Amino acid sequence: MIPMPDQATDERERAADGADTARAATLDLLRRELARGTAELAVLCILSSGRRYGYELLRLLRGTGNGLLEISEGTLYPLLHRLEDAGHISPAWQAEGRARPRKYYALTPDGHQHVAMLRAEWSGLVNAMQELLTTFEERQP
Amino acid sequence: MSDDRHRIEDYAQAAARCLPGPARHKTRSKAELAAHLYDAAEAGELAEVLQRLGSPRSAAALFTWARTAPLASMSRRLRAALIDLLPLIGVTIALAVRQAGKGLAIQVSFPPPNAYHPGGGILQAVGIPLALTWSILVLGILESRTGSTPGKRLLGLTVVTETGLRAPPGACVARRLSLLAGPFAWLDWLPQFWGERRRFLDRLTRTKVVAQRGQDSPQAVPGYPRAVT
Repeated sequence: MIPMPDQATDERERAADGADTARAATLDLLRRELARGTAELAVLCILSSGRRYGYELLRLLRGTGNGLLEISEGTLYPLLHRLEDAGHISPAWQAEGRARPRKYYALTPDGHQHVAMLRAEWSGLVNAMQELLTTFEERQP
Repeated sequence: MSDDRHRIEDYAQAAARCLPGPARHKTRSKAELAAHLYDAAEAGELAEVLQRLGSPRSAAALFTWARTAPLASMSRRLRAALIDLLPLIGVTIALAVRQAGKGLAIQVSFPPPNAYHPGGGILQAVGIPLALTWSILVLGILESRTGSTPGKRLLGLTVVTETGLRAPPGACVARRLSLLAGPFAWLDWLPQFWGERRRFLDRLTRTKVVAQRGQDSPQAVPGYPRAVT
């Protein structure tokens, strides 16, 4: 059976919408993976400027780079606990005039060393990737 | 804000029921979750955050101290097991002494199987079943309720699920059933020979034994009780 012109247009639009949704989902997944991979450095980098509490860290990450570094509680809190276990950060409960206390995380001296190492590694990786992208630039057809 | 407060407290309390002991760690995890939700409420994002966190159980899995805690070493676990199995060790020794006293060849093994032992008498009829009930049922229930047994408490160990939550009673009892196999129970510990820190039955019941962190200096949370009920 040959589709009618209107029916064919509808099918094409539905197919295009489906492709757009799939592309957006792939991009979203890629961004999440990248954010998760860089979460440790991102969190430690923020903490190197001073102590922060969990929700504040989430908001700062969400507000940086158009949300590219956004992570969820499911990534943040296990990461904070792991960094605490490793001795890179230390927590302190403080109320500071509020009715409810907050748990602040701060870098330990060991954490400062760890951040310096991660920063150096990251810079090396970015430079190498940039060099690779420039050298093997994709040829347009 | 009052509605939010009730919602947060109810949610945090429900999450706390899924958290493993000891009480001081449970209190800290619950307090951190509640603080996070109060911050979200202040920012007008409570509904969004609660939707992201899902059920109280899944939120508890993110805030539990036990999720990232290191697996306990086998030597530490073995020492805890020896303390917990003292009644069973006592019965085994008594059985050997009784057999020797009657001039029989000593035929005992550890753990003793709940089977016929020459000259066993009351030790076999009552002693072994009682010691096995203590070792499997009583300790299993205790482990589920508090996360620890007397031996584990002394050694600073806690039994949790793979996601770091409180282990259910069925799993806690099932992970101790190898004791019914008599001396073959030691096969359960074989994985330690290839560097693993979980027994076969730990894997089967999807549980793990972790070392409690900061057990010497639990940090008090201002404004929160020391223990969560």
